[in-house]
Amino acid sequence: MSNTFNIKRFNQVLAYDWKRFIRNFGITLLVWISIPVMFWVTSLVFDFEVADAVRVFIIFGLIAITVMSAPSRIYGKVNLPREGVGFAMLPATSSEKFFSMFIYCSLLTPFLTLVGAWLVDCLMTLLPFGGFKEFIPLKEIFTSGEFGERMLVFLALVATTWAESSAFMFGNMLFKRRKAGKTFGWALLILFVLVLIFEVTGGWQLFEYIFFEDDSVLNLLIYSIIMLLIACGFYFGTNRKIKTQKY
Amino acid sequence: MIEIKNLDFGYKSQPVFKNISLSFEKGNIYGLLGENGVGKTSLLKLISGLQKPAAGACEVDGIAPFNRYPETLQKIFFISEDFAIPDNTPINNVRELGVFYPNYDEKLFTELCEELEVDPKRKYGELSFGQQKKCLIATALSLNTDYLLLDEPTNGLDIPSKTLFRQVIAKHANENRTIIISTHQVKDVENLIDPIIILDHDEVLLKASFREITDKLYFDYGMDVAPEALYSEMIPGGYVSVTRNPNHYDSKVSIEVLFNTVMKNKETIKQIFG
Repeated sequence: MSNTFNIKRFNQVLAYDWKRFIRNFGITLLVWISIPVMFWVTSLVFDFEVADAVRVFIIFGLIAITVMSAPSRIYGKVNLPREGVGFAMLPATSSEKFFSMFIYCSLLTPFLTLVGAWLVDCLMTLLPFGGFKEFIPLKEIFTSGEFGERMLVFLALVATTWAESSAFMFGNMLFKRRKAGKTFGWALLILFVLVLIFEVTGGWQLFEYIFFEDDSVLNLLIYSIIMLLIACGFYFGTNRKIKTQKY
Repeated sequence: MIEIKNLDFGYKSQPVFKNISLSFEKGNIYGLLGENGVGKTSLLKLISGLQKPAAGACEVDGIAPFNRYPETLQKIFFISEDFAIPDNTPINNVRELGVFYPNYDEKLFTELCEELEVDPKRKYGELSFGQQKKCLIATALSLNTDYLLLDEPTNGLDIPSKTLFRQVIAKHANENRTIIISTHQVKDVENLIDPIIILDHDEVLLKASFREITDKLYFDYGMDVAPEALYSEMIPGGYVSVTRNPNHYDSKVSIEVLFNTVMKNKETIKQIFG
């Protein structure tokens, strides 16, 4: 069998991690995706209509939150000296373990959150009372405009999700405690330093030149490429940490 | 076979091994002895691929375990002293693990749980420390790995459980399996381990089978301290003295006394067994 990637073994890792996903993250995920209920109840109590934009924002906000918390909830112990031994010694390659992590943290978590929260929102809309009056136009978000543009919007959303997810996966492998919080803190710090550098060096001009030309399609494309490059960097780092972590 | 060649290893500011060489052949139950902090656990972690040598080589069947190739990992199972409790029942845990190990035997696991008197259907969290340890030992043996590394396996076991542990290990040792037991509770593994490895800070003081030990050292149980004793200690009814054994007389080894002899005569022991 290959020492890099073997599909049969990968399926075994997926099945092994599925149990970990359900045990460690299942209930948390259910709680998060039922957050729209809370907004619906609030709208019912205070008798107001929740705007479509707010409901869409809630769903995408929930994706951001679950993507942030998934790595530490599902794989939070894998780099700890005591608890991580089982993960390190599981007879599978680091790439198989990494891709399984990628599937659960960067694909399944945002997908289940999107679908779950949207379904909950739909259920609340079906009720004859409360502040969810019409189904949110989720379909329109992904189907309005030219095909190429729609694809780019989709790509930008995926790239953003992966950039965020990859950063938190890497933070999960890097930090031993308060993983999500520390990753968030470091991300803010790096952002602050970047803004400072841009201010000092006048880098905003380049930024404006790239992004604020009229061509929104090009802007989206450049944005997506940058996000994907960031994601690739963090994914590479995560894989490397899985491979070289000492216990 | 496990081969360690000219290995250097240490943690940030603390060197643990300096240029040590060792080998572990198949079919033996090695006893890894040493004072606290000499690197017994570190050695097991190096063999398991959990740590990386700073220099030199540590190879399991010719492959560096730190590469963590699945084929190497399938051959090794390590129970650390401060193991993490699986958030599962022992039977489900071993089933989840079993798919990764080609020689996993669930029937054996059930039999071992019966032998060790533990219920594999209760959650790990509901079991006592000793029961958890026994379940892990059953897991380790039923996965049928070639190399089984046990760090202080008898810690937390009551006296009947220690006896059961010795029986189970002795029963399931075979010519294809290498078992390494790291312990400082030598009495718990007496009559089980052979050969014996005694580690000191930075180095290996002794690696010898019981046959070699009795061939070179004589354990004299008498009323008085033997003349020219390398080491002696009082026991009920007299003394046990350890002397050189130029005439190759046979004697009964006490691991604890051997350990103390080695620790008090490091250079002499290295000369005798060198």
